[in-house]
Amino acid sequence: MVLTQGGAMLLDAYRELNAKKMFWITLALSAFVVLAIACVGINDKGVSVLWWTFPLGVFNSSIVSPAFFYKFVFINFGFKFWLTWAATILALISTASLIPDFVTGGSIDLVLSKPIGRLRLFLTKYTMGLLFVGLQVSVFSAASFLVIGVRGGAWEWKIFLAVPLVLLFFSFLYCVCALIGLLTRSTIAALLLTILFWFVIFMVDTAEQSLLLFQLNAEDRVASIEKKAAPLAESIAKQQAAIAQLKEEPAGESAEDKAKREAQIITMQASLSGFELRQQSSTSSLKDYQNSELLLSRWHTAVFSLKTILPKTSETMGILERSLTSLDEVAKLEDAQEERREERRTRRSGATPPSDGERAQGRNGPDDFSSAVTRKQQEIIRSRSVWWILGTSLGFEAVVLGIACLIFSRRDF
Amino acid sequence: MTDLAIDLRDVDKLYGGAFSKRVHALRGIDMQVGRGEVFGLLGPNGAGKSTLVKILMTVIRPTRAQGNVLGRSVGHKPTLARVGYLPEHHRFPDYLTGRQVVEYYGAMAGVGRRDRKQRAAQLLDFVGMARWADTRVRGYSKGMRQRVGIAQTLVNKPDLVIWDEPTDGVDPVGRRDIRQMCVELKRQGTTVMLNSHLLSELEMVCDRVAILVQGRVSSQGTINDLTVHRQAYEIEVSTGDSNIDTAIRSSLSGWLDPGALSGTLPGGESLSVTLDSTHAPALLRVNSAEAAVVQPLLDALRASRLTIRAVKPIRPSLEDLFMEAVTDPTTGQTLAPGAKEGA
Repeated sequence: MVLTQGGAMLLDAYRELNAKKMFWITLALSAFVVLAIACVGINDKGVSVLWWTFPLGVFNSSIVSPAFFYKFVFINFGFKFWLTWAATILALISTASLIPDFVTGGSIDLVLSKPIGRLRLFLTKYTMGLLFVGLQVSVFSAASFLVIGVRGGAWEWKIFLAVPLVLLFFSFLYCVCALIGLLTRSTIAALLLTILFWFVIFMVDTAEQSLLLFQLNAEDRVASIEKKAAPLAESIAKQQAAIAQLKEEPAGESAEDKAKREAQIITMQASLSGFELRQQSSTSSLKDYQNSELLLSRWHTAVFSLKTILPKTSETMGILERSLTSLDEVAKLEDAQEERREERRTRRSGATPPSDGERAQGRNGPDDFSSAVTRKQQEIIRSRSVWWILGTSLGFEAVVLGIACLIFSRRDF
Repeated sequence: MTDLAIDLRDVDKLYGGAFSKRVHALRGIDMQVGRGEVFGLLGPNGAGKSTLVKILMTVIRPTRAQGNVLGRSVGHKPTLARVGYLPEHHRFPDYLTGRQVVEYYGAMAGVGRRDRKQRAAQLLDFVGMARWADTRVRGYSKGMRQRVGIAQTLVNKPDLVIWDEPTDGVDPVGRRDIRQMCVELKRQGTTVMLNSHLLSELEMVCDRVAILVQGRVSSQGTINDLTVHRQAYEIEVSTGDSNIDTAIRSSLSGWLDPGALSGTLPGGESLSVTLDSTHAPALLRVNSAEAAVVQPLLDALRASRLTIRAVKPIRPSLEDLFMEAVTDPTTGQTLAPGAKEGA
């Protein structure tokens, strides 16, 4: 009986999605996205679209391999833009009505009066909502796999990781949609509040990453100031010692020599004042940055704690990027892009281009983050374990679904 | 195995809670429905009929309930595989065809693929929807949806069917068809529980009825049982040119109370006389269902040369019973619709 009922619900879900037309529209758009990716290529002169070639900075086969290029395009366009945003919004629009329609009076009576437990009924209906996304992503991933294989020459099986990852990502949002749909029985309310929730997650995530960047920047500044403080203190000590030595009046010193010595003392004292001023300024800056670091650390901890209990949508999607591309490959591309930017800037201003070391360390002002800081931030984000990302997110989903199941099981319809 | 398809004791339902208005929808319902009978559940709006049916179908959780449905306790899910249910305001997925609706709900009731396909075709023919079987529900009229709804209740060959307002939106031909379906189901041994406001139709098909008023069973039994104490004989009597008042008093002097136009027969049955004028026919009413009780009275009237124009057995209709049940005996006013608030 369980199989009969499950099969009937599956068939019904397919018919419902089929009737909505949105399923086929989304699938057609997915096909269009894959075809668009397939039309783009890379050669030694730049990026090609069908039979036209566009010289696009670092994007040529001498710097970026075709395999990496296709993975890059798949991740940034197919995955991050299409699957994460556009297709997810379309999927939410398509599936937001499933639970509200299901619990509408007259409709729910018929299914509740059948020999099927409420919990199984609700969870099956919920799973059917995920089926929409599962089918879409599977088709999209298979097509992308073929495109990357044929055009990029890399048969990247890890692309199919997109199927469970997008399903998980969507389920983090869909559980909220299902709960709101169950409580309000309104499709519009379910859709809008889910998108609002998604925005809140996005904001928390952005805040956490920004605070981390600011914190790391403050740490970097503190380290940099501390690094410069020791030589400065040494210079001051030397200067003070030299002044002290000069102040000792040698026996039988002529008036002319004395005048010279005093003039030298004045010069050195002026220089010492400069050093001391720099030291004071440095100490003051150090305190400011230490205070900022402490404050940012506290705020980051608070936001990170909040983020821990919320689903981590962007980091869940980031797992695929981690799997498909190494940090070195990304860094290489970023360095090449940065080099090109510097060259353009230099050509415009006529100044000499900075060295690699300067580029790595260099910053134009206190708000400009060094590439070392941003790279460290990326390393920290990428070092967060998959278990933490998925475990805490699934924990959230389990709690939300648990509440929804409890309400569904106990409600009088 | 018990002879009762439904045996309910002390079913109680209290809606609301700490943050909402409390409504006591059912107040200790005791009700029995025999196997193989057609049972009618009546009551004014808000009496608790739908709540009671929904409790039987596990759509609503009772506050308190004892009893059985098809021999298993109320709320036992697997038993629902043997029950067919048509809710009052049902809504089928409009993207399905009539055939798909019957097959889908058949599958949900646990009917195998081959059986439900076969049954769907038979049942759609049975309810007169074979021609429209492959048309989407969104194109159906209300009556057509009702017919498909009835078909889906039968797809699992149920022992008990519960139809909530099955004739709602159905034309007279369809109503007759539904009545015939009830009779056919009864012939097959299926118990049918009908919840309807169309009392005349219930009267035609129901073996037994229960009347719910403000969450309580006001009365239940066969229509004959419920009306037997209200049955009577009416005798229309006239005279030629003489005064009918005098003639009647003289003829029935042994039974009428002195100076009154009412009295008691030897068996204890009450007798009343209605006179409009001295020359118009009089109407005698004997509160008894027994024809034998009336005979001495007729003899006496004939002996007094009164003309007996008509003798009619009077049997209250279901509507009379219903109206009596929903009328407040102290004020004579019809009770307001809806359940009582508060605990």
